Amino acid sequence: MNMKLLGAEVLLYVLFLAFILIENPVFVAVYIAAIVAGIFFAAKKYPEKLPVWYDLFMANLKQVGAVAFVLGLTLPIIIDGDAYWLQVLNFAMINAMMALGLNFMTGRAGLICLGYAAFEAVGAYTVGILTLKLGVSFWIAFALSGIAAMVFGAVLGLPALRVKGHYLALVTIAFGLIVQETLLNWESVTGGTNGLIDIPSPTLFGYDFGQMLDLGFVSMNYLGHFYYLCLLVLALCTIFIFKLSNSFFGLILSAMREDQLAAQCYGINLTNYKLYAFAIGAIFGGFAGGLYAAMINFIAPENFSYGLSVIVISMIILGGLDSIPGAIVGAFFLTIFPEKFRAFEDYRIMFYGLIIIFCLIFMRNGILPYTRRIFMSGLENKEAEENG
Amino acid sequence: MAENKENIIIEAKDLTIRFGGVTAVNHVSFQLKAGETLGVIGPNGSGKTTLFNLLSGIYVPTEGQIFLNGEDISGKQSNEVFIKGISRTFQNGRLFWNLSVLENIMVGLKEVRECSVLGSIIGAGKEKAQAKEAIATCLKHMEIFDDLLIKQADKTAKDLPYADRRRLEICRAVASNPQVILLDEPSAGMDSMETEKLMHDLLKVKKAMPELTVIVVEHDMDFIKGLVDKVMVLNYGENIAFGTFDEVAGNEEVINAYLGQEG
Ligand SMILES: Nc1ncnc2c1ncn2[C@@H]1O[C@H](COP(=O)(O)OP(=O)(O)OP(=O)(O)O)[C@@H](O)[C@H]1O
Ligand SMILES: [Mg+2]
Repeated sequence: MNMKLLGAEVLLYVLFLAFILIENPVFVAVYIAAIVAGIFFAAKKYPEKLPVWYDLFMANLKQVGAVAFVLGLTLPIIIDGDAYWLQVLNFAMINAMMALGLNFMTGRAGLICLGYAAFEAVGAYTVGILTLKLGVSFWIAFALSGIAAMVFGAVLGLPALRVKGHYLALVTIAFGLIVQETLLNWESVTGGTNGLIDIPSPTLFGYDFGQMLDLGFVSMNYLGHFYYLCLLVLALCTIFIFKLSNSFFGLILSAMREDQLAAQCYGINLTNYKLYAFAIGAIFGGFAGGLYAAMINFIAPENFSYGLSVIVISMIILGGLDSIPGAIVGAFFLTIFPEKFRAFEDYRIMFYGLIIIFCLIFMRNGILPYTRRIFMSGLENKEAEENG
Repeated sequence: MAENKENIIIEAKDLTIRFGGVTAVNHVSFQLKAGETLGVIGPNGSGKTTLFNLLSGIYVPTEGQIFLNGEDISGKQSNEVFIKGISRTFQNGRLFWNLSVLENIMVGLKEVRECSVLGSIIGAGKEKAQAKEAIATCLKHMEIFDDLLIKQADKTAKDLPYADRRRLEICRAVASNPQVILLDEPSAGMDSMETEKLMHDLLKVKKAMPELTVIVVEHDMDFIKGLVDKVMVLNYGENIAFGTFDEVAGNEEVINAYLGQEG
């Protein structure tokens, strides 16, 4: 355990708490501006210190993640079970799962996908239909939501195999629209425009997730259960993605992203690896959708629009393509920040558009670029060896 | 005669490809034995790179066949061709730019390619040992260029100086233990000192891997002369001369082809 890093992370947590708790939009804007300016001046004043800290952070992601999980456990208590913020944080975690999955497809494997919301839709409707109409247990339906999304990922992968670049982007947009249209028109199963209403809450050994969560010293409404469920699922997703990305398999996907032709000339079967990337990346969207349906109890096609796909893209662009911590931080920031400006709700999509444009022009690598390599020679720096 | 055939590693038979009206490679045939080195020369646009694209499976020949160890591999995809034992470099350099030097080389290794997806997730500890082994293999191959690549092993490929990028491409091609390697203008953009060093490094590779068959496209005649056993001259996609360097250099048609290009 690196104590310096632990201290820094607790400090960041306090800054994050303040970010949540400041309600006034003007103060939030000033607060964020102050932090950005602070980082900017620190980078100017101590040009060699910041990269060292950054590298320390990236070199110890296991510790950072574990500490973040523990701090995450305390968050509902600190906000005193506030229902509104629990809801927002749950959305942030669900979005983070989607960002992780999309980041795997687009950031790691280089396969652009502008229809990612479709996978969340598949997951959500899997849970919705199975639990509401067929009375299947949520936990089974939840597992199936990931599998159903995986199948859809492979289905999207098939036509996408033949196209590249812009054409792939178009195919994925079309895919997203087709899924949404199907949900609208296949009324007998999906409920059409009205969607599915009264999706039951999960129960575990007779314990109903729809009731209040009473921790003794603090009590919160049913969203508290979903907070802890989302936190657990997000942690598992992160570990899974992290392992996959740091394996030989992850290396091959990144080679494919860098240069498909060269990768093929070095023995890589592009067909297989593209299908793997689409299928695996889609799973996380499916889980996100499954949790969404069970938490909100109501889903409709409009929840899974093209706009949502763009939002998820903006999250991974802000965080930094191919950066796992970037995807999570991007998702949290872009879910929570607009909540401060609810008065400007109509401009929300514009805000995401501006973020994308700003990042592509001024910050190509996002706020948390992943700078470390997957495999290190272990020659010059001993520290690389330890953290393998 | 039958004995001779045994030794043939790679053979091209009437290899032809047309792009619309252009016949970029026109009935080219050759045979190479294990350990032989063939230089391919010819004016710009004469079809050298296209020949490599055919041999490495990027293009499917319009006519003709390619045999590797007697097996017809024409029409196979480039990933299959690579696995059969032909690896290549690219004229304009196609590294995995955001991967490190080490990782660029790792991508071509059999054990990396053959890892299963599931194994990557639940490989419980085994994957660490495998990674260590793969890294050691790569470092060993990097020794061809002394410490030039080794000391930059963790640098990203795009941060390498130009000459080292060319070296890395060659190292990546050799590291997969191929039977045949295709080098497309390996010294392009290098100064004369670097070119000479590269020639010696390649001679070292040949010495270390005596069974390796090399086909190299080059414009630098000293480089060709010092490295190859045979030379093939292409002009407008046709093989106009084949033989030792001195035989070919005296060939009138070859001189005309080159003069024609300059005039
Ligand atoms: N994919 C393609 N489509 C159409 N024409 C092509 C294609 N690839 C190559 N050609 C044509 O084939 C001919 C041979 O090109 P190639 O690149 O093989 O020449 P080269 O000998 O490698 O030249 P250089 O010395 O400049 O590298 C050229 O006329 C080129 O325009
Ligand atoms: Mg060429």
